[in-house]
Amino acid sequence: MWTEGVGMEKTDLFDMHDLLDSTHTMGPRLMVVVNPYDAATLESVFRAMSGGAIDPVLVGERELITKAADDIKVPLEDMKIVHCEDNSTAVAASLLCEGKAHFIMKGMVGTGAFFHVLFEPRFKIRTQRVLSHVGMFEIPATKRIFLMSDAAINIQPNFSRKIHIISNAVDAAIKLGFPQIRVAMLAAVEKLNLPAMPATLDAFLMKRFARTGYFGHCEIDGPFAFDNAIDPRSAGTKGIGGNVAGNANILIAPNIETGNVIWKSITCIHGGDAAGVVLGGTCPIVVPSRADTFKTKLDSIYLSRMLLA
Amino acid sequence: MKYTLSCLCYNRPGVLAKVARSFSEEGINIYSLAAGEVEEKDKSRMTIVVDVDEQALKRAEKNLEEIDEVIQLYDLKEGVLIARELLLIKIRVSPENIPQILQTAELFNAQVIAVSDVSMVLTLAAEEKRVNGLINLFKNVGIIEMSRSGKLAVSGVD
Repeated sequence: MWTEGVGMEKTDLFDMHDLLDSTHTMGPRLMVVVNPYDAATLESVFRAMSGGAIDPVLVGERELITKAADDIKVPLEDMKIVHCEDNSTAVAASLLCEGKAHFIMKGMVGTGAFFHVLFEPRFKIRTQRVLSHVGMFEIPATKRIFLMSDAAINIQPNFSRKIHIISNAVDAAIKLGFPQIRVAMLAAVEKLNLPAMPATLDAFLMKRFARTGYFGHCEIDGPFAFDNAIDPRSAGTKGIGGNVAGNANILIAPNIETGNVIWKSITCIHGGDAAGVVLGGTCPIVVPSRADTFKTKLDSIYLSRMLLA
Repeated sequence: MKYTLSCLCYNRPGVLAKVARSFSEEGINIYSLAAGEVEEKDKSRMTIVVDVDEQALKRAEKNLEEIDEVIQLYDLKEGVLIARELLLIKIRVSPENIPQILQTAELFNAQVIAVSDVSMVLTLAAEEKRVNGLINLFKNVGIIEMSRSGKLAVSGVD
């Protein structure tokens, strides 16, 4: 186990909820929600609205929305409802495209179908950038907030896609106000192992590529095993030097399996709070898992609100 | 025109020199020659690529057939043979060209097998034209050293 706070950079952000609470003073933004038929989505939307972070626009079947709200006693008076019986995603995407909403959240609709419609060229939401999921969580013992990517979108990203994934995460860190950005390229070991462990090659080369200044003001290092990325004592025991070792605040997973397992370990086993957002489009996209708790969905809304330009 | 010959022979000292002489006597330059042991320990297969006219090739084949150690000789027809070439290539690496190098490698399915701050070694086993394509693209990056096996071939499946 790591020693609490050892090696912690004084400039690190360390309380995720302090950070997310700052949305209360940022002023509301219009968030369109597709098919908010479940308790967790409706409750998170209501709480985010009550906290002053969003003005929600609910898109879907009015009857289903009303019934779900009644079941959990969430008042709908202050929420705008756009009734539609099918293809709610297209209706929501049109609102975004027309500037009638600032960002979007997925409710009870399959992720594949949601993205398929959302990224139809007519809605102009897709950009030249690669889309990636950026997750945020804190590990109390490290007293540090982490961003991690990608646990949900990019299955086996190649080097070029990893450049975009890192860019999206670094941009998010800048908008969130991370004073120092230290990116760890995760792998299973710290040394190059070719050709058996391609993640070590990407990590080794990404560190060199970062010297071009492409990512701006941040440090990138790797490869690192997970413990040596987040725990200074582990890194110290192994004699791994550099500013990133043990002190990373952005973790880049080599593939979706690794990212997803870390993400679920934090939320399911560790019970930690987490928030996630999809970046790379014209606006943040809140795409929680349908099984996510109300708290995760609420935090994801706050995170997305913070990332709006 | 390029021809690919497959020459099964006994693995004995001096055979390679005799094979080479069969071509040189006809004024033929060997484009590539790859040799290695086959499934039987005392035998080797040479895959020889020559760029000649048909008459010169026939004379060279006659010379080859007169070598005692040559067991079997046949012309592997393009389109029927299955051929690959192995390339090992060391190129220059700078931070700026890393994405380009990796994109190129991915395009050709080449594998990085060693890397340092300044250089990288890649390997590719592919058809000759793909090997040539990769080499051409890496010329812009800067080739430090390379080695190619020459064509390895077997006859196609029935």
